[in-house]
Amino acid sequence: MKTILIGFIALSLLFSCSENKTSFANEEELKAYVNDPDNGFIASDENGDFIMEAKLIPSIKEDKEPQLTVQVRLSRKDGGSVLDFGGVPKNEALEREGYLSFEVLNDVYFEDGDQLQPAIFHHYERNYGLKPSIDLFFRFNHFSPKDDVMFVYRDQLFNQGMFRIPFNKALFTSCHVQD
Amino acid sequence: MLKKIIIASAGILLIANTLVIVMLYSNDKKTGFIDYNTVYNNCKLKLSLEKDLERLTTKRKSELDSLQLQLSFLSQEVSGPNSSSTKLSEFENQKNRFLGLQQQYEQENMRLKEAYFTQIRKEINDKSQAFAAAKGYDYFFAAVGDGALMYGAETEDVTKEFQEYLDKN
Repeated sequence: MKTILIGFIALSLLFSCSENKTSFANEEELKAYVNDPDNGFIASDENGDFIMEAKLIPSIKEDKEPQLTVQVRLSRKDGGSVLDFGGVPKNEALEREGYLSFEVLNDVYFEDGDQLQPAIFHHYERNYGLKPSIDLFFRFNHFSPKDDVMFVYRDQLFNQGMFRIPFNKALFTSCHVQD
Repeated sequence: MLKKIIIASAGILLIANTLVIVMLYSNDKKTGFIDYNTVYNNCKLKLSLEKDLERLTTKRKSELDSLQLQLSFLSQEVSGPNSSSTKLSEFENQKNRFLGLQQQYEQENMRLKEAYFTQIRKEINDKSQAFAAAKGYDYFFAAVGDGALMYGAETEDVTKEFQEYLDKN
């Protein structure tokens, strides 16, 4: 009897630890939780000369149309300017900004088993050369995956191949924010 | 006296044997090889990238097909009796757009294919170094059929084990 009880407590502890927190008192608490690298919302992938970091921000239950956000930072391993990669002239760097502002949306998606979840909106944050890395935001309609999901960026701008970042399916649960 | 000589000889022989065994053992390098083409063709990353490339090329092809269809309708209008200079100019613009896009997509498809090829090759190279280090290999070869490795005994072939390692990590 004692063994069963201990086993039951151990199992409950195990499940309570593995479960994701989905209810928050306010947005600040949600932000802090998402920003904690131990919670799995922040992940990265390296390819060739680049590093891509992605932060998944879960959808909010109370929203009229719940959407997932992925914040992406692309940087060079050598710390150089991403836009100037390959020593391209100024006009080519500007063309790259054009692609990042209007076309990159077509090269980003979530791979959910055999299904693809395309990004529905994106924003490229121009930094006017103030920092070497670049930042992008992507919005996706909320979906509930059955298995772990892969965030994919097909890099056609710097010829670095495909960046693939896995995210645990539990992170896609909509969150409840009280205030 | 004879007994002592025999014991001494046996002792010397034993020491000599031990030395030989130790020397042989210390020179025994662990080697292994993989069939590179098998690994390359079956690795998960390649299948995934191929799928993506196919998806993209199909999407681009259907976009071009749609443009081509519009062009053929315009071409009929232009060659008809009610043709006008506006229609002709529209046809020329559409044709240039089609040709430009066709060339752009061909180049981009080619570039992406090369980038993916490099990515797969790098992945196999990086993982083979990690695999060899983790498994304690002194030499780890890849048979690619180009003469670099002419023969390897089946017992040294770790293609399957490496394939599993590559797809898992």
